[in-house]
Amino acid sequence: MRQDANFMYFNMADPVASGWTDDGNMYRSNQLRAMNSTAAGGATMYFDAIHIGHYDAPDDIVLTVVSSGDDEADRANRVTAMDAMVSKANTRNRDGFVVAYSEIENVKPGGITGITVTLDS
Amino acid sequence: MKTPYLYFGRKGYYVEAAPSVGSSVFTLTAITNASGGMLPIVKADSVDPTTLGYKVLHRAVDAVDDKRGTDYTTDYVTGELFSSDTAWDADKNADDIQAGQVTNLTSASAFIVGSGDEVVTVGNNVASGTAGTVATGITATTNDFFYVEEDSFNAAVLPIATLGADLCVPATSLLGIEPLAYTAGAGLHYDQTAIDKTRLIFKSGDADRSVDTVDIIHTGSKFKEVCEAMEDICNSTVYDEMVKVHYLDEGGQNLHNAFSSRGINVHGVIITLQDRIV
Repeated sequence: MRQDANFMYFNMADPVASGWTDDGNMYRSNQLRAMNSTAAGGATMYFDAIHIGHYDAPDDIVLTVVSSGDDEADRANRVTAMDAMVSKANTRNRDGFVVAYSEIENVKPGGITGITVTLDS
Repeated sequence: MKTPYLYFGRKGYYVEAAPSVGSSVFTLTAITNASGGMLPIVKADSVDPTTLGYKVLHRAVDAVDDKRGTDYTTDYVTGELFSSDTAWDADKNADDIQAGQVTNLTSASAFIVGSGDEVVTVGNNVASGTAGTVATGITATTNDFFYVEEDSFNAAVLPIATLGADLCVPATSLLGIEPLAYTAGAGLHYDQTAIDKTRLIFKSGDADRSVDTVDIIHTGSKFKEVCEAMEDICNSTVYDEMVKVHYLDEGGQNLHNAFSSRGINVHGVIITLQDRIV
């Protein structure tokens, strides 16, 4: 049966140079459980922590956006970043995964300037 | 499987029956995220309340003469002059409080907020005390109510960018909707319309045996309409961005028309996230 599945790929650094440790992950988009603001220049995505085989805490991906010092501008930046991730989560690419964010390929949607992946946080 | 993602931003709303006056002020209970969906930061008696993104209102249940600050001349809800000889039950002066009148405490020394304690202290209508003067204070009876309502995105009310400020969840995580009683203020908004509270329950973004909740304080007797609105939103075909159900920006409140078109006014949104570790 062909699945209407979507996979989101994240890469936050050159994985070869850094030994792949927590630097890149791929998740099914339906594992994205929530997002919320966590700093003036940041929002966090929470995924089912499938990489460690149980789910008592999620895998976190912190999205870094521009922190301008203007609260309203920062709010809008965070919303734009989360909007971009929603769009990625709902994108189908039957020829491969969807690159949600990648330093290597310079795919940085929604004004996101960097990500930090933490497994089983 | 594609799914809409729902976005909620919080909105603070807190109501308390006026406490007894002490040391010429009315000291409200500390506001928490759980009780009011907001944490107002410290405010001195020199800070203009109209710059803070929230307001403190007094709703009178009892009529008492000569107890309202002379700075206040107009009813916040009706726009009628307090001194109108026709709008109220009796022809009184502006500083005479009549039942049903709502006073927006806009003068700088009308109230203060303690440092780090989220305690709003409203000044009595006397010359002494840590807040309030004959011009800026108001004397409430214990039958009256104070309302603290956030109305725009402003760093004077936290959280704005940390846990509890907002939440995005997939529509597939909506587990259920529960009606809750809202009894503060005798169950009335300051405009004296009835209010209720409804809880939206989502799978937690954090752990599998807990839930995240969004409590919406809204126009009374609208639980069925809230359920309809959420059913509408969850079955939308907006996939390329979050569906903004509710949030505040610096210009004020933004409410999805699935709510507003059903006559649902949203007074408060309290977001409770379980077990997040960031």
